[in-house]
Amino acid sequence: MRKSWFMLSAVLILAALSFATVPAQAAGARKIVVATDATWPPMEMVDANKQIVGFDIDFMNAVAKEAGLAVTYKNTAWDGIFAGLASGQYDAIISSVTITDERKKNFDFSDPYINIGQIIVVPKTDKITKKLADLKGKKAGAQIGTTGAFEIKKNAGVELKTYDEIGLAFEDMAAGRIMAVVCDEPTAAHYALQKQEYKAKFKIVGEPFTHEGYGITVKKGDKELIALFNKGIKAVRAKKLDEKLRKKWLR
Amino acid sequence: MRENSRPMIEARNVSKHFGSFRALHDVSFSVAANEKVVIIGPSGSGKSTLLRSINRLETIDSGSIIVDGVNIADPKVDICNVREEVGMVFQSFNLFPHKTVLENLTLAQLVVRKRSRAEAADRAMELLKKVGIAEKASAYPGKLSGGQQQRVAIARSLAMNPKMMLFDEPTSALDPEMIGEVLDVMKDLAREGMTMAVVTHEMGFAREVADKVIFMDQGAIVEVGTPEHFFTNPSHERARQFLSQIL
Amino acid sequence: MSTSESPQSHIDVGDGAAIPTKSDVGLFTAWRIAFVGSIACCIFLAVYKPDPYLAIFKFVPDGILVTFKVTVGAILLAIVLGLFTGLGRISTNRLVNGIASLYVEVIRGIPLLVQIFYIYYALGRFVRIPDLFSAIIAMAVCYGAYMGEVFRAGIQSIPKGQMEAALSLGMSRRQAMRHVILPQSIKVVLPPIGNEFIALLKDSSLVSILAVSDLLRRCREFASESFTYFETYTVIALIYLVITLFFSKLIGIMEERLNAGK
Repeated sequence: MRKSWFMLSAVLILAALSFATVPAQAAGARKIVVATDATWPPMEMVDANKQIVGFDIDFMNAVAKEAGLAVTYKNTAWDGIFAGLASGQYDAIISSVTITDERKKNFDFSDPYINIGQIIVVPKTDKITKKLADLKGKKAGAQIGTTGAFEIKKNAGVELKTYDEIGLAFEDMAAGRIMAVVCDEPTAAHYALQKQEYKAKFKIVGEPFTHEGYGITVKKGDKELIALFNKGIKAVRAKKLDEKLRKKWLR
Repeated sequence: MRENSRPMIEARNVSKHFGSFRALHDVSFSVAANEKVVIIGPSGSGKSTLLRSINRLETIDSGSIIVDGVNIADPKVDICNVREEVGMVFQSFNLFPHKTVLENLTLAQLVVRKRSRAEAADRAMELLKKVGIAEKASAYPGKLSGGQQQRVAIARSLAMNPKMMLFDEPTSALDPEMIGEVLDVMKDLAREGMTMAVVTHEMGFAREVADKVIFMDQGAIVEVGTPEHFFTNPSHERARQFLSQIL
Repeated sequence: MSTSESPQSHIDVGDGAAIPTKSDVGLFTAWRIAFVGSIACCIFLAVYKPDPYLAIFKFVPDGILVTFKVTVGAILLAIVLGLFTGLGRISTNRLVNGIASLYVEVIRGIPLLVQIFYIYYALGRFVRIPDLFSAIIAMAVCYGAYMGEVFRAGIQSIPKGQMEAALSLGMSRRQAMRHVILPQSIKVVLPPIGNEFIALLKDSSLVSILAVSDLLRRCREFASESFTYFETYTVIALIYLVITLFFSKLIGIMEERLNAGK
């Protein structure tokens, strides 16, 4: 009997250890879990070492440092990322979330920490498309539930195809199944201009056609966390840390 | 008598194994045109295997079987051409259950013999009348008694106008009261001069119809002779034993 | 010595919805309750809480149509593929048999989701075909392997004597297969094909991962904009339930007819 008790407790301890992924942060800092959909390079992505990296991650770390927070990241599929926040599976989202009126009805946002716009990527063979309206009668892809998808939908006659990850949309465009992809400008630049495979195939057309502010998203009514984030963002801006990160990640 | 100069079936030194089991061992025999040969022997003696190897439902390991001048042991031979000419009747009838009696008789005529529909149907009805079940032409085999099914099966083979007929225990799966009607059809066939090889346990039939009786045991032919010789005075002890058990 | 037959007419395939027959009283009652209940739920939700339920119901019909297109297209293609695979699996030609067996083994060893992804994007590398067709092909390739096993079992359930009788009449193997064996197998394979159809109907939701706007993706698009995840998934579940229940009943009736026919 004694032996089995020992085994049981050993298993329990091991289990507890494996779940306790304690971030290396100063003791006493408030611990929060932040969700991100790390399929949106260069804002958030998984690098070769399986680490979640990107502009948002560096920025969040800088904010957390200023606000005295200890952050653990949780890689979460975009479709459902808001549902997870609403049901309390994590405390906040930093994942290139554009602050929109619709989203504000359901969630609270920090002050915008960067301004970015949507842009169109098409195959190099396409000489006509300059704006979304030019895509009438064609299929355009975007990630499900993103402002890019909402923008396509506004254009009657353009058929929207929604993907779980933006990378799949680019792959489908490479296969000729869709004629355009709409996404955030840095992500578009990453896929169309940096990724070897796509560089020869795709081009970015025109300028960003929306002006969107990204915010850190929290559950409706989480005033305390918003205050901490805004304080952190202010401090990061004052130290010009965001400028440095922009140079590091966004050319 | 030129016809009789060449045997319809001639097997030479045929051997076959199922794994390590010796099914046929150095078997040689022949069936002349118009001859009726009855093969008897205890179960497991190889008589069915021998019969089935005549139209290559079983392949043989060595030896040769010449059917109507064609060596069917030669793998290059198109066996279908041989089978067209060799009718076969099975213990379990093997009628096609999804087709009517008439369709059972016409199918191979249409597909293999390429006869016209009318021609095939005429031939089928003629044979159904002959075996005495013309009224069941549009019934499905499932609605027929065992004896009726076997008669249809015989008619199905005859519809192809075969040069010879093989019967593999045609009455063994039948209730006793139905055996007679099937044997009667076979006797008629024998009277008409059909070349026949029959595996059976019906000794009465063998005695009445056979020109030649072949007795097999343990994969080998033990004794060959006329029915009179075989049933009255067999020369081998094994044959005597078998007869005493069965008669 | 080989005339004894053991017809194995029972085919063991079934991860589809249970198909109720009148003889199974418990299941039959459960079917009624579930079917009527789920429809009643839909109506109740749409009337009682039109925001967001009525909006969801209005949003998804074209998605249901796509789900049907994928299911019907894939099952038809899978039946053709399965027939050839099944024939290949019993072929005495070693090459044909090897290819068919390899196909079945490979497909059965890979999760459906991975296959669908793989085939869809692999197709995109070599040929230009619209997404819906690519998705249908992907589903059909997966289900063709399972269908092949259904056909193989169906063909093998026909007593050996049938083939022998056909051959002894001078038919070639091919003629015997076509005129004697396959027509009899159909009755045996129809019920498992019905099962596969329902399983495929449900698995067709996986094509939503390929950005095909089927029922599931339409609903997810709705939810991603309105943040009504719970409500939307409630509706998805109800719609799938109504559809699969409807079809399992339909297949059950077809089967009964088939059995009564003989």
